[in-house]
Amino acid sequence: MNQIETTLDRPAVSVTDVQTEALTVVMLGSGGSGVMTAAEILLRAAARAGYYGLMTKSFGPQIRGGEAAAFVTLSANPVEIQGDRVDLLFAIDWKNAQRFAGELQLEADSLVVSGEIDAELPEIVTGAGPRLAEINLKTLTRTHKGTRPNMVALGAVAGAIGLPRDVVAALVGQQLVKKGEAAMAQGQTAVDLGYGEAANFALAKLDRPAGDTARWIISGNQAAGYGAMRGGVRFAAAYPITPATEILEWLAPRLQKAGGLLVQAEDELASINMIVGGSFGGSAVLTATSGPGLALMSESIGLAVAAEIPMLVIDVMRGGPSTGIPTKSEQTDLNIAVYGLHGDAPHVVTAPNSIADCLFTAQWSTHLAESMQVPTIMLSDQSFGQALGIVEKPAELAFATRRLVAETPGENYKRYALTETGVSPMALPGTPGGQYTADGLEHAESGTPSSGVADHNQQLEKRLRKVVDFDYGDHWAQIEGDGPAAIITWGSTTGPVRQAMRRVDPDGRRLRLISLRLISPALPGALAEALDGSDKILVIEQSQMAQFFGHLKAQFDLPAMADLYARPGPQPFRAAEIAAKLEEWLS
Amino acid sequence: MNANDRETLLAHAYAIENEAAERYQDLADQMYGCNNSEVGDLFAKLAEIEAKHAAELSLEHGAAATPMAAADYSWGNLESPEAIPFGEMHYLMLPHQALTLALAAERRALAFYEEVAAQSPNEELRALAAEFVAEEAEHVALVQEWLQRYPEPDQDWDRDDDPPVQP
Amino acid sequence: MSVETACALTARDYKSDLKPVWCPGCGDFSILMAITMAMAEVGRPPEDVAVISGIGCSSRVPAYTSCYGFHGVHGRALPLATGLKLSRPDLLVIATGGDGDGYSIGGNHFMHACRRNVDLTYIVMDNQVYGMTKGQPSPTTPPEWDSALVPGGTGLSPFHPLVIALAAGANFVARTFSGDPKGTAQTIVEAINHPGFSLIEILSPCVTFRPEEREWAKQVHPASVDPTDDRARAARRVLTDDGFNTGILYRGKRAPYQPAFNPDTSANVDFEAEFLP
Repeated sequence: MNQIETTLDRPAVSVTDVQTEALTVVMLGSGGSGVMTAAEILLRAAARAGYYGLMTKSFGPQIRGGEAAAFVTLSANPVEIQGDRVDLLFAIDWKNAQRFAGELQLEADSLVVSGEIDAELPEIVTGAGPRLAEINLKTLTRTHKGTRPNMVALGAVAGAIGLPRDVVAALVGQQLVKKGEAAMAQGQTAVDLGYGEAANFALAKLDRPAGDTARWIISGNQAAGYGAMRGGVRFAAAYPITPATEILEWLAPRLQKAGGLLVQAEDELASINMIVGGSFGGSAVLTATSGPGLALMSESIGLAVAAEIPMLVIDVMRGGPSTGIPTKSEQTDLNIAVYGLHGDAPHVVTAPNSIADCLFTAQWSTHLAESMQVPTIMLSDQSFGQALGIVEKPAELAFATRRLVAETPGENYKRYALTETGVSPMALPGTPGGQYTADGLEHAESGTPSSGVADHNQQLEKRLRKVVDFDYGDHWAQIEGDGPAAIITWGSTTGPVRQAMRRVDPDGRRLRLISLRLISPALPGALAEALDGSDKILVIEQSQMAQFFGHLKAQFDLPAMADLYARPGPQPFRAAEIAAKLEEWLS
Repeated sequence: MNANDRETLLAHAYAIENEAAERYQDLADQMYGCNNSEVGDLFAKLAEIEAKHAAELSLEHGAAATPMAAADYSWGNLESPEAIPFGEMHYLMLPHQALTLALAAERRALAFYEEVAAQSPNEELRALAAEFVAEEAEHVALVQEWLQRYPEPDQDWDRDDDPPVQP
Repeated sequence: MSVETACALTARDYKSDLKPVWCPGCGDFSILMAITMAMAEVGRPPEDVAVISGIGCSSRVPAYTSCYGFHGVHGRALPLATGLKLSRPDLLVIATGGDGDGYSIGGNHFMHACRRNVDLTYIVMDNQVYGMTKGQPSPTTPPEWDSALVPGGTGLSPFHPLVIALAAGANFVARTFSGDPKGTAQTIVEAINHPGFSLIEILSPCVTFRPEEREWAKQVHPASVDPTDDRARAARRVLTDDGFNTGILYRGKRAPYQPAFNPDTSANVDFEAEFLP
């Protein structure tokens, strides 16, 4: 191990004894270096040691052999976003590492450890002039038979952070248990080699976690799938698409376990119609997709509005338009989700505000869909979906209302009867006397096609009323604080905003946060109430064209003085960026 | 048809009359749907007559009200003899054309029963078939009489200056 | 459902009170009759039958039956029917539609429904034209057929649904003619009773936009050979015939795709353990 000074002649900063609130570690490597596996073990070990954390991934476009970076942020306090800067970058190799420019914020006191000796460092490193160190992974793994570079790297990083060696070793053992005892022993050796090297690193130490509440390690995509199942979904049909596929792959075997089924469809047109069929038959259903898939589905989501078919459509948003940036997040499907259906087509659009909230919102969205017999689009996004978080164990919830079914349809059964709530009892196939033809054509109460003025007006009115008059309770938004300066945001921007608020307004006297979970229908009254007593409003979102702001302007009574901070992806929001914006805004 | 027993003959007869009644009613509905009520009324009247005939068959001869499986009927043609094929219809058709089709249908039914009467080795069946022949002959005469009341269509009977409507 | 009531069901019991809006002379009238006759013979009560369609003249069929029905969007009857059948294997699910709906906009679903082989009966009323939109060429229209949208004809070879179905894995393939409602009804019964995906392509004249199709009545003729379970033989036969050969061409032996579906929504779906660190 050579602790080398930077070529820029910077004096070494001793930070070993400094305590820090959060640490961000990046593990970098290419082609089979195994950084993702190592980083996941690191995250798991941190969770066992009582920390909160978040792991995100960044890849080159190659399916195999490409460059990859795992970002892990750890803290004694809840972590919703990556840290502003990278405290420790461990590169197993540097091949094409420059591609991560813009994601890797290194500073002078960041520590960069190169797994290669005398490597040519990329500009992202040399430009920042950080402290540098080297580990000769090649020699180490050669001299210790069967050890692998990523496990040595894991030991080095875990050791540098100060995670207990035994916790890491146990997890490495678990990982290798199928490969036999020899492999397990070699894994332990590798970890120990790494811990040995770490003794030479100087890195600020994380605050000790307080208490030990139950933790989960879960991704937004897993949480969304689990939430939907808790909501009663048992039938799904879908077509693979980044970054939603993990929802489907998580669901497929688990639905099977619950007696349900996931069908891989030939395309999104098929998947949406398969779930229309499944829901018509009586099942709670879902599909999951991303922007391009949602665009293909929109005609049939309109069918579900007209035929009053409940369904959950999860859109894990990615950078757009078109194929865009499939592996990066952007909050830019709001317009298509809210306004993308043809005709006057009232439906529900929701959005989770954290990884853990993906579970709640998916469950709630299923409940909304089933209760109102309406398609519900949940706008998750890549930054939730593909991030793995250490979160507090989510509470178990149950919603009472289920689909209103006509168990014994009488002589004059009318599928689309005008009722007080606008929700009409639905006869399920197999029920004698309930036969009707569900139709995308406008229809009379009986379901018979009709282009009459009265039928159109009545059916339009009932379909709007059932959605607008529904009691959404307090779930429509997450409201925190009651300061006079209100921030309105949604989805994955909530985390960075929350973190920035803690910095800018630690006592919570100046700011309040309103993060909308119910994007549509608009509840202008509820928002006005939440804004009561505020004298300043800032809307923050990740969209070039400020889709959320436009929606608030059009559908809510958003005061004219409201300010806007909107920018596109793919760069995720960081707390520092938002905090700086807030300082400027408040001054 | 090889009706070697009373049940098979009655089942066929009942099916013929019943289907004729239903078909005439369907055709009447089609014509009403196209606002061609003159022809619609004619078909509705024919439907009534055939329905009455079917009811008599059921009442007087105990013809089974339960149809046989489609495969068990043996018609010389693709359709049952007394039913006007759906494909013969036109929305602008005139009574003369409608009654020409009805006449052909009634004659097919007549021919069907005549063949049964001629071919059956069984005295009882021959008598029964002869009864149906008489009945159908009456229908043929009736339709012929009606037909004379209506002129033959002009050459441009199917002229429609408007294009079809796109629903 | 008792045996007695099952016996009492007639074609009329499967008809709704709605009167079809098709043009008089249209082949679909006979096919609707054939469908209801077939249902009566199969004997499942109307509430246990679901008829699914897309958009087009022939896609109006569901509402003309007394069964559960779904008149969905253009081209998507098969995935909708697939979702229903997979989640409700207890139902008899029939999809109906036309050549434009099934072979053009729904072409991809058609191939994959054949390949997936869910136990569905797909009745295509092929009139070789788009009727509802006033006479445009469909995938099965002859190349020289002149129209306002494609003056002088498409110049394209017609799509061959039966061969595609055979190649894609359909388990039952037949062609019938609307003018033979009894034969068609019989074929539908056999298709329903045959496991897996069944295609019945029914020649159904459009008297408004293709009046020359009235001549089909004189051109159709029953297949002179028995159905086969040899896909290649069936394909060869149908590729070399004149397009008016009617009858059951192919009866396959593939097992239908029907994964278990016994959802228990009250079941404890506790996957908590996998999220513990």
